[in-house]
Amino acid sequence: MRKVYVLSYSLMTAGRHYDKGLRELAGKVLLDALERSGSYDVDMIVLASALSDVVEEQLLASSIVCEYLSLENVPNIRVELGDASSGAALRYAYELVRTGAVDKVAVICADKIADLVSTRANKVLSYLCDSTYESYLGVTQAAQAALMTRAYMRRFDYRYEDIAMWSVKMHEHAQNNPHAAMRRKISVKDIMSSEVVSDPIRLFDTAVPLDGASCIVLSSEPGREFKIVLEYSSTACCNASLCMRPEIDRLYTLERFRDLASKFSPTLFELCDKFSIFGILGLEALGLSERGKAPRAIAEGMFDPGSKVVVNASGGLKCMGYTVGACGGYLTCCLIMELLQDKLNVGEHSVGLVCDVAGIDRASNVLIFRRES
Amino acid sequence: MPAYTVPVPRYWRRIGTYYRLEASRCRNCGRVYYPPRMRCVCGCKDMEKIRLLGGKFQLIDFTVLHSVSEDFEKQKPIFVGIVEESSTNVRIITQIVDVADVSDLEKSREVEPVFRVVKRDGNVGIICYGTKFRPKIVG
Repeated sequence: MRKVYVLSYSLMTAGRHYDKGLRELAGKVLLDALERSGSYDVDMIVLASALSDVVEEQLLASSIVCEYLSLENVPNIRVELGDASSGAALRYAYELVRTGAVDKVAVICADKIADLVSTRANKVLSYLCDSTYESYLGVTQAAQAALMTRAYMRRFDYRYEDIAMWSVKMHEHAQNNPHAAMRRKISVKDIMSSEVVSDPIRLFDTAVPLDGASCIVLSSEPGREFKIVLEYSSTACCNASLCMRPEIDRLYTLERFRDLASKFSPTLFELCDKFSIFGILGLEALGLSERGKAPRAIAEGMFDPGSKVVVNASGGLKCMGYTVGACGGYLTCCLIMELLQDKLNVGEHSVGLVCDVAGIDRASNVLIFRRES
Repeated sequence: MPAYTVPVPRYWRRIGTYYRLEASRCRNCGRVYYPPRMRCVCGCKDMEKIRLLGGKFQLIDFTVLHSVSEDFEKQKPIFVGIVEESSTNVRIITQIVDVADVSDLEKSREVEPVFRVVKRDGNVGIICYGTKFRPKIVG
C-alpha cells in the first residue's frame, strides 16, 4: 500500500453566500487547491455534498462542478453520508490513492443551506433523522441532541451552564482562526439569554447552518511546500435509532476509535461539535476525558491552545458554521493549518485527528494526519 | 398546478405503523422492533407482525422543541419524547400532546397513544394522521 499525502488544500469562510450556487462555491475551492498543488491535472474528483439534490435540485452535481471548471474528461463522483459526507469522501479518496487506483484526487466538500428559510432548513436537516418515523412526527436533530444533553446532565448532575462552556471555549479559540464565521467572544450569560431551540439547547449553543466549501487534494507524492501524510482513515456506524441505544448520552461510533489515541498518539483534535453535547461526548468517547468529567476539563482549559492536547483550536463547527456535508472538510483544513502552523498557530504538533459525525451518531469518520519533516 | 409534497402511496403504505404502531417480533429470540425490521440482530428472518397500540407506555424523557420544521410551525412548540412500551421494552421517539403544563408531564410519567392529525399537505394534498402520545388520563 502506498503513502497518501496532502498535496494542497483550500477553504472559504462559511457564510450566507447568496451570490453563489454550489458550482461556484465548489469551483472556487477546487480551483484554488489545484493551483496550489502546482497543476490542474487530477485523476479524480470526489464531491462531498449532503444537500445538492435537496437544496439545489441537482443530481450529478460533481459533473456540473467539473464542467464549470472545464475539467471535461475528469472522472467524478458525489459521496453522501449526511453531515459526515466529507469524512466519507476523504476516506474514499484515501483508499483510491493508497491502493494505487489513482495518483491524485481532489476532494471537494461543499454544501448550501442558507438559501432556505429557517423552518425549511429545519425540515431538510430533519432528514438526518429517520424521515418515515421520526421527522414525520416533527422530530429533529436538535430535539434528539436535546434529549442527549438532558440525559447527560441528569446522569452526571450538571447544569446547562456547564455544558454551554463548550461554546464559550469555542468562541475563545475562534478568535485566532481567520476562517471562523463567528469570532466574537461570548459568555455563558449570552448563551442563557439566547432563544431556546430545544430545551435545554439554546441558539448560541448550536452551530449555525451556513454555506461553505473546502477542498483537499490527496496524492501519492508529497508536494514541495509541506509533507503531511494521511495516515489512517476509517468509518464506524451505529445503525439504530437513538432511543434504542443502551445509553443515549454516548457516541458509540467514536468509542470504537478510542485505541487510536494510544496507537498514533495524536495531540491535535478537531471534533464535530454541531451541538455542545457532541463535543463533550466526543472527548469522552475518544478517551481524552473520563466519562462524566469532560465539562470540568473544558472549563479548566485542559484542551486550550498551548496545552499538551489541543481540541478544536479552530473554534469547531460552533464558530466555523454548520455546513452539513462540508463540515468535515472545514475540520480537516483547519487541522492541516494547525499542523503546518499556517494562520492557526497552536504550538508544535505533529499528529492530529479529525472526526465528523453523521446525524445522531449514526456514523463517524476518523482521519489521522501526520506532519513529516 | 398546486404544490403538494406528500405522495399518497408513501403515506398509504405506512398506515399500519402510523395508526396501529405495528412492530415486528422475531420468532426466534422474541426481540421486538419499531420501526419494523426484516431481519433480527440474532440473524433470524422469521419476523411476525404485532401491534403495540394496546400496550402500556411510560415516558422516559422529553424536550420542548421550539425551532420546528415547516410542517409543524402552527403547532409549535412541540413536545418530543421517548416512550417505552413496558411488555416489549420497545422505545419510540414521538410527539407528546395535550400537555397543559410541563410540570404535569414530569409528574405524569405514564402516557397513552392517541390518534391525531400530524400535518396537512397544503390546501390540496392529503391530511396525514398518526399516533402521538399524551399523559394518561386517570379515572
